[in-house]
Amino acid sequence: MTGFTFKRLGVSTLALAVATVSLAACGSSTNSAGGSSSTTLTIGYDSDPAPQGYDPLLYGGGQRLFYESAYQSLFAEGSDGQPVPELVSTFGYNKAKTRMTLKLKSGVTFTDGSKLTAQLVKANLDRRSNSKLQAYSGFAKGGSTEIKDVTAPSADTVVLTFPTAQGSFQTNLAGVPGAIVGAKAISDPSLLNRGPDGSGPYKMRAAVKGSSYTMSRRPGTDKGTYPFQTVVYKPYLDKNARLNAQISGQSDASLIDTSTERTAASNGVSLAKNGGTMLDLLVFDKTGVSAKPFADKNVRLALSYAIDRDAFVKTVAKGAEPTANAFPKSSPGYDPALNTKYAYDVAKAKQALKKAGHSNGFSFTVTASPTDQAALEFLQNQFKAIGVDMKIDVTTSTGQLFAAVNTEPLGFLPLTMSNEIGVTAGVLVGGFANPHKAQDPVIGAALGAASNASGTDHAAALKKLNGALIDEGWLIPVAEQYAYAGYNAKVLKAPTYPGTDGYPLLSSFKPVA
Amino acid sequence: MFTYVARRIGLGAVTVLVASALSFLLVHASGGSPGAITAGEGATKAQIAAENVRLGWDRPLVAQYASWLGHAVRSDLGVSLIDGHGIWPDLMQRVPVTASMAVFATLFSAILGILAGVVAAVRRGRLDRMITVTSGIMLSLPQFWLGILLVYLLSVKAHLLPATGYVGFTVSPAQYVQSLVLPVLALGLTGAAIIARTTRAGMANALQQEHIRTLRALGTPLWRIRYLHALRFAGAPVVSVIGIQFIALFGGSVIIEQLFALPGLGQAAQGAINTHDFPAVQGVVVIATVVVVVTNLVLDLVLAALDPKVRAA
Repeated sequence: MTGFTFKRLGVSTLALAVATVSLAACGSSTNSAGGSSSTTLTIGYDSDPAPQGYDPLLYGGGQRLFYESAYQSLFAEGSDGQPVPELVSTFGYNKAKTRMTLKLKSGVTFTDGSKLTAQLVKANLDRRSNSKLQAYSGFAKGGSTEIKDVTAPSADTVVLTFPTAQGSFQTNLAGVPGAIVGAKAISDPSLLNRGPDGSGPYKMRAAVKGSSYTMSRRPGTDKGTYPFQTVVYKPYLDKNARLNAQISGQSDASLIDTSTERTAASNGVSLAKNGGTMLDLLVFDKTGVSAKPFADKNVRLALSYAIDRDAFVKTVAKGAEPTANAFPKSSPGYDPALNTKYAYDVAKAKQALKKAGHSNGFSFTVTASPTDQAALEFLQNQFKAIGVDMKIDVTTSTGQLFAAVNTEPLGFLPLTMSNEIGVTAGVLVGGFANPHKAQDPVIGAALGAASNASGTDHAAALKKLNGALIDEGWLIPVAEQYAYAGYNAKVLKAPTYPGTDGYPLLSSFKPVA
Repeated sequence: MFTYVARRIGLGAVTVLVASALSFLLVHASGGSPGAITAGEGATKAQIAAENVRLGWDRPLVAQYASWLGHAVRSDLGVSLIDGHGIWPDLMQRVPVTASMAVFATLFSAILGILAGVVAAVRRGRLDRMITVTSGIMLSLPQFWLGILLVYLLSVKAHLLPATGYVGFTVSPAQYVQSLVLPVLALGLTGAAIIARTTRAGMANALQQEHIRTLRALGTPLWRIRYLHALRFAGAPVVSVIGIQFIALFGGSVIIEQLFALPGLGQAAQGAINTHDFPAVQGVVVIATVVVVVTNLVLDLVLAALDPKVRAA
């Protein structure tokens, strides 16, 4: 009897297992074989693109690919990374370059039914005093790219006035900072908690917060530029989960982490890559408020000389390229001479410390995320060789990381240099990386000149700005990292990046057939 | 029995109340202020202070707690400081994900574990040794490692199951099952090992009992002795282990949720803690407490049904 019961139980269990696997295998054909049908594009994103709602101005460049679906900007990033008019039809500057006039396109409609007008653009840009809107920090009061005033003299004309001359301000209005939100959401921003209100090629159809965001193509959108009827963004914060989704066919394309790029390639994932993400030691304190030695530029330069960048890349940043430049290799402002000038030299580093009166070294603390721990431990050993004791405080709290900017002399961060002047003005000089509002005449002059330069002068001015940031020790670059997009070559053509941006253009995702 | 149940429910309500008060106090003691979060990065001290006043953070603690509790009993846990969404609806979207995973993993581990434990205790010999060794190996394997292995074998290589994500039952029942198979296996296999060991020990002990020997002498059928009398005698510790496992799975499967990109309570808790979203942290704590209290209540009732002595205790 017992034997019979066990046999029966065993058979039942086996049957249940077979049924489960059959059900799974049966259903999985839709999921794993193709990822998506040719009318749907599924993108594995590396962060939740809307953790605080759907106001694009709350975010930075990392969310650009997502917000490109729902919003249009005054200017978009062209395939070479240069700004091209999007909501603007024509633009120009006055002779002194202190005024920029924008003529707007006609017939643009937002998801709330409102129309693009000069008044709406003014209402959008007038939100720049709102400290929550990160993307507007580049235009902040007192900064070198400050917008002093916005007027709308006619229904399709917007005039921006600057306190200082600007040569290529359109760069600052490309992508997320130039995104224009519809009239209803501007008058009631709480509407943006429910969904985007833009004039982009797609409209949000469904969202499960932090899990998936489904966009449907809006009627009238050019099918040649945006061939997919549906675009699904799936945030996978864990880089391995994102990789698994790509390999198993759940995503058509994914933002692949540098550390998993080789695994992706060996599992048949096709890869598109682009430089532009700089691994930097950002010097927050240039005035000695949080650590006295940092007030002396020689100390900051000593740390730069103390870094063996080649060894850093070989040990903790495989696939990256060593650099002492603030700007990426593909930038017109890139200067190979800086790599020689700040080459690894312990003697020079010690000499610089001596010059600053710290021949016996000093100690300071940095707060880091667990992802950067290995990189910082490598640098810790390098600094130890010149007598500088860098203590590392590892935290998983984003709040603590942000707070450290105000209380610690430096931090280790990846900085995407998609817009050299914008990032310098909005992050390094007038933004969060300069909490003590330090001023440096050399950098100030270089930034002013670069903002004002256009045409052939632009590259030379950028090179000067690059040199000023490094020579003044505001930034200690270590390596340039590549951004990878993994894609299924059976479904998609290789996506392309705009200039040095770390995220491909949405319009560059095209089906194979 | 009615008095016993009423007493347990009353005690459960008090536990939830105390836990909610403690979590409220801990959130306040953790430093920082919600105004600093809602006002944004570049906000001035005055702007932060104004936000704190708007959010009621300046009011006395007792008043704040009373107000929070009053709303909480009406399923209103406030709004997130980060995105302004209601916390209750957001968590209610996530509860089914974690609950599905915890319920199925518990069921799977209970069925497999009890079956293996009984077989080991009854059959003894080579089968017993095999089950003991296998359960030992399963116990030593971390769940996330097992998860990675399962993803590699069944998703990446065999393309049988999705590697990540969750599909709701109402959207597609078949895809709902598919999305849960791997996380349930990863969580349930180690759980089954614990239950198998507990069941084996309990059954081995039960089969030595005098009343079992008497039943055997009276000629009671073997299956009746084993599955009604012995298993019931050995059941109390097994039920306790199953209950504890369910609680642990409900509250502590953050790594598995991350590995399989499941939008469950674990991810919500992690996100809320990282962003200092105080009301959301409190909401997760309260829901987790309710689950623990209800599970313990069910556990006590099952134990009381299995062993009348428990009711008298």
